[in-house]
Amino acid sequence: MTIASLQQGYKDRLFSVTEVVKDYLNRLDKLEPKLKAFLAVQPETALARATELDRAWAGGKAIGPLGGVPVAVKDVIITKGLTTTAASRSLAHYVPPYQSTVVSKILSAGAIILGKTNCDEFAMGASTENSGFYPTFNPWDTTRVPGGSSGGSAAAVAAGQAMVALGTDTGGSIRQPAAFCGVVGIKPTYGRVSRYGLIAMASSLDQAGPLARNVGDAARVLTVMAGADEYDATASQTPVPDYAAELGESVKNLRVGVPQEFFAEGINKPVAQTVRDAIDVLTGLGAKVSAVSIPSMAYALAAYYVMAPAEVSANLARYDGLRFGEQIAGHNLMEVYTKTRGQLFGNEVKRRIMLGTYVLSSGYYEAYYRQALKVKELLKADLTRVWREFDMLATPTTPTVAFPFGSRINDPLAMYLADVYTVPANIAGLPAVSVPCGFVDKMPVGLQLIGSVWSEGMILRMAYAYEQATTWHNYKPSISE
Amino acid sequence: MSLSKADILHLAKLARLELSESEVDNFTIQLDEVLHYLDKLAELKNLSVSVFTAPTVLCPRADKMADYPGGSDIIKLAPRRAGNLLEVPPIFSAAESPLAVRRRAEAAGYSEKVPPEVQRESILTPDDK
Repeated sequence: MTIASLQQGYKDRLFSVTEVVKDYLNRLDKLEPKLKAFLAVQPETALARATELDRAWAGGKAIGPLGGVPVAVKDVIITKGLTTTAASRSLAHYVPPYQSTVVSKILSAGAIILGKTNCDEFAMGASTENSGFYPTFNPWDTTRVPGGSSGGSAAAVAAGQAMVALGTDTGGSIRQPAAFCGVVGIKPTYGRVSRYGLIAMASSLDQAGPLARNVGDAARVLTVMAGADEYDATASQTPVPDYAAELGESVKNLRVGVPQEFFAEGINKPVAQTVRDAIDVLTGLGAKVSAVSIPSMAYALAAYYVMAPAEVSANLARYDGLRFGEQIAGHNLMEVYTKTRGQLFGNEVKRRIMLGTYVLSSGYYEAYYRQALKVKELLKADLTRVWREFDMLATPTTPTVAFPFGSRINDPLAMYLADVYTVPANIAGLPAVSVPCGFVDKMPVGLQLIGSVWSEGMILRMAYAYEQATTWHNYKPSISE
Repeated sequence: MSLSKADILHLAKLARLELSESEVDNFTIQLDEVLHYLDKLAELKNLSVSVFTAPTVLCPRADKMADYPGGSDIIKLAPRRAGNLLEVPPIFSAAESPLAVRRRAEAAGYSEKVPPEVQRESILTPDDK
C-alpha cells in the first residue's frame, strides 16, 4: 500500500482513518516484542487524531498531502509534549516544551504520529546497539542489527509498524539502516530541511529525511518536510518542487558515474555484484553509465571522524545536568558535571566527545581538524568537476549487508567503516537516496544514488524508474506477514 | 603518536566525563586505533584549498523582539529548582568556600586586596538569599 492508494481508499470510503490507525497499532504491538523499534508509542493521541480527521473529512474538509498517514518519528527529533530521549539515559524523561519544524510540518499535512523510534544514542552509531535503552532487531533476521542510527525507523517501516518514518542522517544514518532493512531512505541536500528541533549531533552535517517502503512515498514526505524556516538560518529559501509529481519523467540520457573507489577493497563481493547488476538496470533504462575516479573519496571517512566528533564535543557540552534532563548529584558543580555525563552517556558518546576534544585541542587542531576541513573542500572541488560530466553517482549504500549483533560493538573502527560509502554526501552537503536492489545471504542490499545540490528530484526520479523496473520493493520480511 | 592512559584521563577531565577504570583501559586502546586511522589525513600534503567553514548561504530571520510564552515551561525542565530559579551545587568545595578564602586572605594581611569574585560575594545581603 502506498500513500496515494491509502488516500484513495479514504476518499472512496473503503476504510476510515480510525480503522487504519488501529490496524497499524495492532501490528506495532504484535511485532514490538520481537523488534523493539520504538521507545514510545502514543495510541490514545493517534486514535484521537484519527477520529478528528474522520470527522473533518466527513464534513468536507480536504485531505492533506499526508492526511491519515501513520508515521513514526526518530527519537532525536523533538515532539512537543511527547517524551524525546535521543535514546540517551541523560534525557530519559525529557518532555519537550516546543515542536520541531519537521514534526509541525507533517502534522499540518495530516500525518498521524504513532510513536518515537529507537536509535543509537544521540544518533551516534551504525547498529542501534548504542541506544541507552535497548537495541532494535532487524525484521529480516533478528540476530542481525537494523543498522543505525535510524535503526528503529527503518525496522518499523520494513515490518509495517508504520507506513513511513522520519530519520536523521549525519554520516549515513538514514541510508545505511534503509539499506540494511530493505526500505527507501533519502538524505536531502544540507539546508533542504529545517534542523530546528533536531537534537544536534554535528550541526554542519545533520539533515532529516524520510524512510518509506517505496520511492513515491519518500518523495511525498520529503516535499512536506522541505523548505525555509525562520528558526533555522541554514534552511534554504530555494523553492521546493513537488518531488512526487516529477517521478514519472524520463531518465533517458541521464549521465550516471560509477566511482571506482566504492568497489575497491573492503566491499563484500556479492554486495558489489548485486549493485553492479542494479547499475546495469539503469543502463537498460536509457541512462548513460560510465566509470569515474574520485581519489579524495578515500579520505572522506577519516575527515568525517574528525569533523563529526569535533562538533559532537561542542554540541553535547550543553548536557550539564542543570537545566534539563537527568542529574546525578555531586558535592560540587564539577562532580555534578562529571557524574551526570560520565554515568548517563554511553560508551560511543563518550568516545566521540573525547575524540572531538582531542582533535580540537591546541597542538592537534592543525593536524586533524583543520586538515579535515581542507579534505572537505578538496572533496567538494573534486565533486564539482564530476558534476560537469555526470548528473549523479551510483554506488553501494554499504560495503556489507546487516551484520550480527555484537560483532562490531567493541571495535569502534570496524563500526565506523559501515559509513564509508555514505559520509561523502554529508561532507559535501549533497542529496543521496538508498533504494533496495537485491539480497545477499537473504539480507537486503541498497543502491545509493548521489546527486549535486538541490537535485533530490532527479535522484528520486532515477530511483523510481529503477524501482518500477524491478521487484525488490515487493519483498517483505516474513515477520510482518 | 600514541595515546596513553594519562591522555585519556586528561581528555575526560576536559570533557567533564567521569570514567571507570575499565573505560579508561578500553578507551585508551580504542581511541588510539581510531587516531591511527585518522592519521591517513596526513597523507594529503600541502593542500592549498581555502577552508571556509560557514554554510554558503544563510537566511537569518529579522532581528526583532518577540514574546516567548513558554518561559516557565523551560524553567520547569530543570532537575532542581527553587521557585523560578535553577538550583545548582556550590562551585567551591567547603574547604575553599569564598568565606574561607577571604578569612585566609585577611589572616595573611591582604584585606585590601581581596579578589574581586570574593568581594562580589559580600554584596549579597541576607534578604537576597
